[in-house]
Amino acid sequence: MKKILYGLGLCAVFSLSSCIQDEPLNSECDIETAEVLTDDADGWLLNASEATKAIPSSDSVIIFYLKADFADWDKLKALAVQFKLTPGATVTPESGTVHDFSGDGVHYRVTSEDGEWHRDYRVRFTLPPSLPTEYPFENYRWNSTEKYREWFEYSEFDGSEFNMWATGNPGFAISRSAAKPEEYPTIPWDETSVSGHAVKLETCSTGQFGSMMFMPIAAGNLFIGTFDVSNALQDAMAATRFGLPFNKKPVSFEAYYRYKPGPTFINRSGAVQEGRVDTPDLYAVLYRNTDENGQAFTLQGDNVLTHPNIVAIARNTDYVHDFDNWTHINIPFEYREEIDRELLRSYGYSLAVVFTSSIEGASFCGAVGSTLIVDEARVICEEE
Amino acid sequence: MRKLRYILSAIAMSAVGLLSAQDVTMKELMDDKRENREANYQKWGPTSDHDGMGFLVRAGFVLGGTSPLPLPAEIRKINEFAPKGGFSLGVDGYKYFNMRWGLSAGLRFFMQGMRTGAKVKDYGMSITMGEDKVSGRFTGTDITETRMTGFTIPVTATYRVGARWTFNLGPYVSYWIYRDFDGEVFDGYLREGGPTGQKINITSDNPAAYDFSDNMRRFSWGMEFCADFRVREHLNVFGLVDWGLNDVFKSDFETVTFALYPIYATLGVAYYY
Repeated sequence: MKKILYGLGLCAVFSLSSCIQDEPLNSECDIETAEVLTDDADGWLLNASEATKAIPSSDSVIIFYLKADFADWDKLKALAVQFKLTPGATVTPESGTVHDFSGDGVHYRVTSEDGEWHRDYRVRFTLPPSLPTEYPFENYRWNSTEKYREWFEYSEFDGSEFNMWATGNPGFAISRSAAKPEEYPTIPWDETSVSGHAVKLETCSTGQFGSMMFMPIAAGNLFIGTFDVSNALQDAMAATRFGLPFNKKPVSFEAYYRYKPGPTFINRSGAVQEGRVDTPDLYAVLYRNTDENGQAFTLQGDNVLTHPNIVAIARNTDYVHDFDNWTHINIPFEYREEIDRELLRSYGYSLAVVFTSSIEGASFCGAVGSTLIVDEARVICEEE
Repeated sequence: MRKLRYILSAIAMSAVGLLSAQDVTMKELMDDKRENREANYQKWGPTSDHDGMGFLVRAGFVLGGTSPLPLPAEIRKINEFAPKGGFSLGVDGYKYFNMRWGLSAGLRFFMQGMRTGAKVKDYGMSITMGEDKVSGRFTGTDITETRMTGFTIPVTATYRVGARWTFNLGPYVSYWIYRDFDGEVFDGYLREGGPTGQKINITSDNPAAYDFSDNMRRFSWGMEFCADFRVREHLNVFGLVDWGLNDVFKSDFETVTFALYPIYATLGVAYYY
C-alpha cells in the first residue's frame, strides 16, 4: 500500500514539476510611445501634449506637428526622439540620439527580443496640414492588405496625399475576413453620381463573429479623423476618433445624398425592433482640440455631438428616403460660442465631417441593407 | 510524451517494487503455509482455482483533465483548474489463465470534463466561423471548458499480485456520445496575422468566445491502468487512469496548434462475482 502511494506521489511530482516551461522571448517590436527631447515644447510644437505620443499599433509613420507659424527650420537639424519599445526590443538608430529631421524624416528599425521580427518606422516633423474643404470623393486606393478602399484628398499646401478620411472598414475586415471588396460597408460607387465617383455607405451584417461580440451590424461610415482598430472590439465608441485640426471658420455644410432604409431594424443583441425605420446621419462639427490642461483632445463615438468642447454643429435632421434622386442639403453651422481667431489660426480647433448609413450605427443598432450614397460634399468657410 | 514516459515508468517502478516485496511474502507462504495461501485466496476470492472467471461491476467518480503534453511554452500560468467530471459505471469480465495472469475486458459509461484558466503569451490561434477567420497571436487569459460523455471498452492484462491486490494494464477505445469544448479569451490582445500585425484589444467586458465542440473526435484510444484492492469479500476499491494517446480534435483541425490529450482518473468501488 505504501509503495502504491509512493508511486502515485511520484506521478504527481513529475506532472507538476515539468509543467510550465521557460518564458519565450518577446516577438513583438513596437514603438509604444515617442517623445521629443526638448525643454520648450510649448514654444514650437503644436500643443503642450504634442511632444509625447502614444503610437497606435497600426501606425508606422510618426508625425510631430509644428506650430502653424513655425519658421526655425534649423531647429529640426539636430533633434532627439526617445522611444518606449516592446520590452526587450531594440531600435536602430538608437533611441534618444540626435538626428537631422529637416528633410523627409528619420527611418528607424525596431527588432524584437527574439530577433525574428522587425518593424520599420519613419519619424517626421511637419506643419499642420491645411484640411481641404471640398470633398468630391474621387481619390481612393486599396488598403495595405488590398481588402478594402481608403479615401484621401490632396493637400492644398503641397499637393501630397492627405489621409484625412477614415472608415470602419478595418473593423469590418476583422469580423468578415472572407468578405469581397464590394461587400464592405464603405465602397466607391459609380452607378450614379453627381460628378465622377460617389461613395456608397451600406449597413452590413458582421457575420457570426460580429454577433458573438454583440456587434451584429456595421454601418457604412466615412468621416474626417482616424479609426483606431485596436479599440474596435474593446470599446467601439473609442475606435472612431473624429476630426482633424482646422484653421478656417466654417459657415455651412453641403452634400448630395440618396437613401433607402433596410427592411428590418435590429438592436445590439440582434432583436428585431418592430416599426422602426432606419435613417442616415450627415453632420459636421467644429470643436476645440485641447482640454483645459492643454492636452490634445479628440471627439469620439459617444460624445461627437454632445461634448462641451463643441463650438458649432451643422447637422441634417430631416431625411428624404429617395434612392432614385439626389437630395441636396446645405445646413448652416450653429455656433454655441464665439470663435477665438487666435486659436483658429494656431489650429486649436478641429473639424469633423461624418456620414453614416445608420444613425445609431455607433451603438450597433440599425437595419442591414440601409444604403446611403453621398457625393460632392463640402464645408463652406468664411473668407479670410 | 516525455512526461507520459516518466509517469508510466514511475508506475512500473512502483509496481515492480511492490511485486518483489510481495514475492518474498509469497515464498514464505509457499515454503511454510501453502494451505494458508489457499485459504487466503479462498477468503478474498474471486476464485481459488487458477483459471477462474467472473465479472465486476464498477462505479466511481471521474477526475482529470484534457491537456497538451508537455505544456507548450506559450502557456505561462495555470490560474484555475477544476475537474468537471461525473460518475462512471461499468462492468468487466475477467478470466485467469493461471494463478496470477489473466485477461479482462469491459464496457463502461463515463462522464469526463474540466474547466481550466490559463495565462498565455504569443499563443498562435485562428478561429474560423463559417467562411470567416480571425488568426494571429493572442496574449492574455484563456478559459476553457470541456466535457465528454460516452463509453469505453478496455481490454487489459490482469496481474494478481496476491490475495488482495490486482493490477490491470492495457489499451482502451472510447466513443463519445456527447462532447463539447468551448471557452473564451479576454484581458489581453490579439496581434492579427502575427507579432507585427495590428493589435486588437480584448477585455473581460467583451470577451471573444469560441466553441470547437464540432471539431472533436468521436473515437479516442489510449492506455488504461487500474489497481484493485479487496476490502472485503466481493468488494474492491479501485483507482484507474485512462490515458488518452490521440488528440481530442480531428486531425484536420488546426486552430489549436498543439494536441490535447484526455487524461482522466476514476476512483470508486467494484462488486465482484
